[in-house]
Amino acid sequence: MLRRKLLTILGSVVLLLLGMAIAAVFMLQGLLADLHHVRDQSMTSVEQVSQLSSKIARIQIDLYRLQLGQERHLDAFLDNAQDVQRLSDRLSENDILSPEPAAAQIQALREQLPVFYRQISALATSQDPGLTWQHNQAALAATVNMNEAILNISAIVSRNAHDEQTALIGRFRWIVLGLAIAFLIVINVSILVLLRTADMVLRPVDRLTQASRALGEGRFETRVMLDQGDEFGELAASFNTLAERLQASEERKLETLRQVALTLNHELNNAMAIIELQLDLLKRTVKGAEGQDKYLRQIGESLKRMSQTVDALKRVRRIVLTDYVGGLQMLDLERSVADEPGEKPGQVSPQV
Amino acid sequence: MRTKWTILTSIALVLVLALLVILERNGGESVASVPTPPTYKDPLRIGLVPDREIIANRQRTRILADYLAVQLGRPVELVTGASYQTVLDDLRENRSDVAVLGSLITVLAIDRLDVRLLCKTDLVNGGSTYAGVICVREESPISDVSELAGRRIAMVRTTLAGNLFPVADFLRREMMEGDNAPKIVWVGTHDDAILAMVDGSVDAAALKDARLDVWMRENPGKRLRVLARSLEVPESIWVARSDLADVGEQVASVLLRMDSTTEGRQVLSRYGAIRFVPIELDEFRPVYRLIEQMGEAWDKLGIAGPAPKWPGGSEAD
Repeated sequence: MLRRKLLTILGSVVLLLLGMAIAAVFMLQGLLADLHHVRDQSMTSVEQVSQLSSKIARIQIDLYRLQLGQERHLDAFLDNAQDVQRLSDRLSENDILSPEPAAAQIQALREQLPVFYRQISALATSQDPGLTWQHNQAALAATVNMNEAILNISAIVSRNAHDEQTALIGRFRWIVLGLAIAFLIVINVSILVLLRTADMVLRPVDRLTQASRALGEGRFETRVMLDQGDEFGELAASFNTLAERLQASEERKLETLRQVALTLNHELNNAMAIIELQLDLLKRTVKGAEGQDKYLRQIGESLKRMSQTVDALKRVRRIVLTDYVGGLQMLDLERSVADEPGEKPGQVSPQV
Repeated sequence: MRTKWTILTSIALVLVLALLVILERNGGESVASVPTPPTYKDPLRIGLVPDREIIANRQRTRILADYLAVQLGRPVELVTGASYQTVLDDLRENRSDVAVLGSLITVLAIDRLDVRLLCKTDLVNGGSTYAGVICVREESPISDVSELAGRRIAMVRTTLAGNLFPVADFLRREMMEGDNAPKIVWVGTHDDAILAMVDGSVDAAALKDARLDVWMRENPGKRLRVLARSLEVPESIWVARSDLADVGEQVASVLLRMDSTTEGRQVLSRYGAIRFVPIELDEFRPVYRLIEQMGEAWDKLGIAGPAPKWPGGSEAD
C-alpha cells in the first residue's frame, strides 16, 4: 500500500518533469526548425535576387559592348538572357515572395521580361544599324526596369528576413521565459510533493520511535494512534498490541508482587506484633539501663522499617530493578512506588 | 521506448546515408534524350545568324547540336553572330566550321568565301523553300506594286524576301527614283513587317511567305493580300568551309539521314523540321537573278562588297 502510494506520487513527479522536458525539447526544436527555415529561405531568396541582379548587370554590359561594337557574338549574351528567365521563374516560386508587396514587384519584373526578350530578339535579328541601336536602348531600358524591381525585391527580402528573425527572437524569449517559470513551478510542486511524501514516512516513524523509547523506559501504557491504512498503520497496531501485552505482563507481575506483599504483610504483621509486644514488655522490665534502651530502640526501628517495607511492597506501581551483589538485581523499592512526573493518581495511560 | 526509437532512427539515418553514397558513386543516369558526348579538344562550331525568337531558336538548335555531337563523336558549339557579317567573318577566320544561313547570305558566302553546300532544311512551318512576297491589308486600295509609289513599306534588311526582292521589283518597275520611290521603313523581323502593316504604320510589307502564312493562320480574322511573289529559294541552308570537306560530309551525312531513324525524327520534331534535303547550286539561280536585276543599285542594300556573281562566270538564267 505504502509502496503503491510512493510509486504513484514519485511516478507522477517524474512524469511531470519528463513531460516538461519533452515539451521544452519540442518547443525549442520547433523554434530551431523555424530558425533554419527562415535562414534557408532568406538565404535562398537573397542568393536568387543576387544572381538575378548579377545576370542583369552582365546583360547590360553585353548590351553596351554590342552597342560599341566590342562584341560580335551573342552566345554568352543569349545564355545570360536565358538565365534571367530561369532565375525569375525560381524567384516567382519562392514562397516568401508570394504575399504583397513582393508579389507586385515580381509581377513588375515578369512584365518586363517579354518586353526585354522582344527587344533582344529584334536587336539580334535586325541588320539595320539604326534599328539595332534602337532595340539595344529599349532592351537596356527594360533591364533598368527589371533592376529596379529586383532592388525592391531585395529590400523586401531583407526586411522580411529581419522581421522574421525579430519575431523568432521574441518567440524564443517568450519560450525561455515560459519554460523557466514552468520549470520553477514544477520544481516547487515537486519539492512540496516530496516533502509531503517524506512527511508521510517520517511522521509515523517519529511517533513509533517516541513510543518505542517510552516503551523502553517502561511506560507500557504508551500507545501509537495512526489512522493510515498502510504498513505504518499495521506497524502501529502491532506496536500497540505489544505494548498492551507488555503492560499486561507488567500488571501481572505487579499483582503477583502485591499478593506476595499481602502475604508477607499478613504473616509478618503477626510476628512483628508479637515482637513489638515483647519489646514493650522488655522496655518496661529493663527500664533505666542505657545501653539496652538503645538496642531496644534499634530493634523497634528495624521492625518499623520491616513494616514500611512490606507496606511499600503493597504499593508497588512498576517493577524497577537495581543492581545487588554478585551480578544479581533486586527490586528498587523507592522507584517502584514513585509516581510518574506530572501524573495524578488515577490518570489514564498516556497515548503517543 | 525512446531508446528503441533512437536506435531505429539511427539505423534509418545510416541506411539513407549509405544509399546516398552508393548513388553518388554510381552516378545518376542522365534523363536527357541525347547522351552526353565525349570531350575532345576541338569541337565542331556551327555559326548561326540570329533569327526571330532567337532564344527559342537557339534552344532548338542546341537540341540538334547535341544530336550531332553524339553522331559525330565530338562536342558541338553554337556560335551566334551579332550580324550576318560576323557569321561570314567567322567562317573566313576559321572561328566556325559550319554555318546555317539564309539564301542571300549563302550566296554572299559562296561568293566571298570558299564554302560547300551541305543541305537545306524542310521546316514544319514553311517547307524547304520560301518566296518573298509584297503584301497589303485586305481592305487596302492598293492593288498593284506600282501603286506603292510614294507609299510606306516595311522591309527587313539583308534578307532576300524583305530587302533584295522588293528593291529588285521596284527597280524593275523603275520605282526607285524621285518621289515615286516607296518610303522604306526598316524593321527587325518579317513578323515586325506584318505588324507594322496591320497597325497602319506602313501601307505594305515585304516578307517571307512562310511567315505570312503562319501569321494568317494565327490571326484568322485579319486577311492580307499579296501583290507580288518572288521565285522559290532555299530555306535555312547548311554550309561548311571547303577546307573541312570531310567534316562537311560527315555533317551532311548525319543531317540527311536523320529522318530515317526514330531518334532522328524526334530531334527533328523538336528542332521544328521535317527533314534535311540535299541542295544544289542551281536552286540559288533566282537569288542571282534578283542580284543581277539590282545592277548598280546593289550598293543601296547596305551590303558590303560587290554584288555576287554566278560561280563559274556564266550568268544565272
